[in-house]
Amino acid sequence: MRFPGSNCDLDAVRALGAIKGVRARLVWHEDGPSDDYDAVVLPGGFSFGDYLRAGAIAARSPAIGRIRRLAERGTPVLGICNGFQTLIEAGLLPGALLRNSSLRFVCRWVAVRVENDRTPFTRQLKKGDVLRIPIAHNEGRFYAPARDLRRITAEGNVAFRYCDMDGRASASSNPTGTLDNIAGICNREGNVLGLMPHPERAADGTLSPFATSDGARILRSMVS
Amino acid sequence: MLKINMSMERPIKIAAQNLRKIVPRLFEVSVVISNKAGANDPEGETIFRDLVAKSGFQQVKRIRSGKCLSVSVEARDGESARRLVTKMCDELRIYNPAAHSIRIEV
Repeated sequence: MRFPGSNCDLDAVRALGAIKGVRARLVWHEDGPSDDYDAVVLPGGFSFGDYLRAGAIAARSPAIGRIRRLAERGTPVLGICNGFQTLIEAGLLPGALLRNSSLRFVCRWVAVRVENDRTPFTRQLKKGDVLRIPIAHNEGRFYAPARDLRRITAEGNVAFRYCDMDGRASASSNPTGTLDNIAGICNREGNVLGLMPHPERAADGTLSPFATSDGARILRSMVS
Repeated sequence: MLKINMSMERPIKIAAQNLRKIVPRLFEVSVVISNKAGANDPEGETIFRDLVAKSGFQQVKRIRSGKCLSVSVEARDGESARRLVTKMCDELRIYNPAAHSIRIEV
């Protein structure tokens, strides 16, 4: 999808297009997606100036009604960064993404641990796998009231947690003050996933300071 | 002539009174969105800790930040204006009920 302000849309198309057998198309938010897509990606960047709250206006775009129907049919829907914020604001995922504790835009490579390997986005990964992926955002501090958080956790809907390279999730490996080191969550069915890290920026080894392409593992899972 | 004038005057007066009742007026409604008590508010905490508390305002014990929308709304009365703005905030998710509380003042 492309919203006014998306800026990781071309990266996502390129990273997906690099996977054999995938035809990735860019769709303007007023024009689609049509019913014949096998998966939908809401990219990172911004949307509608992120006025009111990041993703709050995009969540009312014509595309969201269509994405909601696709999601109800089981189509994988991946929201990255601003796309994650939009999915939350649209009510497709629970909770809220608040301003980082540091009040700073945090842009750096982090490590995330796979918490749920039964979603379409993580099926080629194993629980406990540590991925190197960059983050770049100002509002990525996941928050949910205690009761909701217990439910999200109990149902296995935490998909990724920030961690250190040994896979330990602690306050020192939490870049934004996000609740329980949460970096990404999915819906109950597992086919809608949002995450703050950018897999499309970590899909080509030449773009990674570690020569890794861990982001591609998420994208390959989604289309497998 | 005088008789006719008086009988004409009365119905016009009543109509004018009714007209005043149904013509909507413009109300200014403030919508204040802030983080719920359970959700940290680093902006408010920073303003408090690094500015206010360091500047001699010892009586100030806490600051919570938020966002304020000033909404001009046509309505019959203040209560209708409040109801309309409340409906707007709920339906368009002007706030995220998971993390925010909202205060509406007419």
